[in-house]
Amino acid sequence: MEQASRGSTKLFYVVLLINLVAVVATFLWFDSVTVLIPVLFVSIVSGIGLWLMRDSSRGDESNADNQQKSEQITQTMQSVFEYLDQELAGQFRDARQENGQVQEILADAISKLVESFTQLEQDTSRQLEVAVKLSGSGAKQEHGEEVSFANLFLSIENVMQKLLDATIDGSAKSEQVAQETMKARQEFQTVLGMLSEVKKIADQTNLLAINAAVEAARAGAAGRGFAVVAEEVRNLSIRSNRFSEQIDESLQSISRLLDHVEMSIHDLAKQSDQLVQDERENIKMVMGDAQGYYELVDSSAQQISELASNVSRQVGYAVTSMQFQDMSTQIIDTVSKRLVAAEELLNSLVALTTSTDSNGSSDSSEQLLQLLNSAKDLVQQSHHNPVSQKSMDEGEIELF
Amino acid sequence: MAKTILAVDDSRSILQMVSFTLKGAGYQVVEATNGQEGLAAAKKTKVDLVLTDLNMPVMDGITMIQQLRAQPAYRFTPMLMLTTEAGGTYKAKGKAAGATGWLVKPFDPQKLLGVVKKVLG
Repeated sequence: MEQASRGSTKLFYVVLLINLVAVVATFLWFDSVTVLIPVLFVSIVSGIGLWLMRDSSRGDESNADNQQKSEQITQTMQSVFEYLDQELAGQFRDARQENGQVQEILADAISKLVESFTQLEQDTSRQLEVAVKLSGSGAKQEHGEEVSFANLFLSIENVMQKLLDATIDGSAKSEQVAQETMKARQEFQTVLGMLSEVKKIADQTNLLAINAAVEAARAGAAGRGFAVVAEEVRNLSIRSNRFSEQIDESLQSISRLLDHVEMSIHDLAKQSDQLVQDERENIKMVMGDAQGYYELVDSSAQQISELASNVSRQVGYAVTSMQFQDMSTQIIDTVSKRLVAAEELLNSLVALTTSTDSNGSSDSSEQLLQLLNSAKDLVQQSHHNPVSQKSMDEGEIELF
Repeated sequence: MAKTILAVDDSRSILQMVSFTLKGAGYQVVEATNGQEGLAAAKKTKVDLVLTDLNMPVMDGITMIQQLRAQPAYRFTPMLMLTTEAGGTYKAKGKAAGATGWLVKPFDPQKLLGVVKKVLG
């Protein structure tokens, strides 16, 4: 009878512990489908235990049937717990393996995501550098000059302006040359006028020579020498007249050439003026187009820059969000540790129930106390979650 | 010359993200996956800043900071904790070990850079 009483008391504690395990298991596997299986088992076993204990207590009043019944109950309980131990051990093992699998999948996925985002950020940065170079906002060659569309634009504008200035200058100089040519032609006219005077002098000299020859003939033998001189003078005047005519012809020819030169220079100056007038407009138009194109390139570069900044910001958000893997892994680790602790607790409980008939009451009480303390420690440990954040918002920063 | 930062974390992805953030800002990064590896890396290369996780296998971040602080070369080196833990007890332990600051994960890359720049002076 005494043994039966001890058995009933022990059974009471065992059922109490079963309920405690059920509570802990529920707490640990919260949100897990697998929680249904152990909780169901534990609840059924608890119900059977309580019913049998009540039945056992009734029989505790004194007969051997009750003692036998109590032993049967204990054996039944042992077999149920052994079955429970096997089933739950499998569940715990599977849960740990699944946790590990989730961690591996997460680690692999995040590693690849981080690489992708890193590459995206680097490519965007390079894209920005190219855009900046294209628009000419700061890129420099080795010798210090900026390599840019803006500089190229300025160089072209500079060269074209120089060409225009040179053409304008050429046109002005042509006008000047035309003026000088006109003056030269006028000077030639003066010279031609002077030649006509020379011709008149030669004609008069010829006339004088003829008169002298007549007078020499009239003088007879005394005038023979004078007649020779008069003839020579006449020859000189004829030669002088002929020479004057040659000079006049040459000067006339030069004067005509100068006329042509003057006309050509006038034409040239006129063409230059027209060219300057026309090309000034064309250059203005081309440079306007080039300026428009440059502004388009610059504006596009600005947009690329803004887009790159946006991508960079978004990558920053992604980097913050992708840290969920580290946080999830730590939480899964904690869950795995809790599963291990719960499994150990269950193993101890099974070991205790299987040794019910062989141990003395004081040892059993001590073991029960130890189990209760272990359960208490487990609950205490389960209160600590290494991840403090409840969302993926950035964490706080504190400098000591 | 670019400053060198020792990043210690048992999470491969966090190390990747920290390195990516710091290297992008021009810092050199030395990586380690636990406190013991961190100590070895700090011995091999003199670093200007230590950025470490708390919970790691082999040796945790606080123990590593404690051991680094005992070395004359790292007496005044800034050391930041980057962890999911935000509890006051852990912070107090970290501060006592010689940590310069406490950053709770997840970190924002720009804010992390801001803190790094600040502590590096």
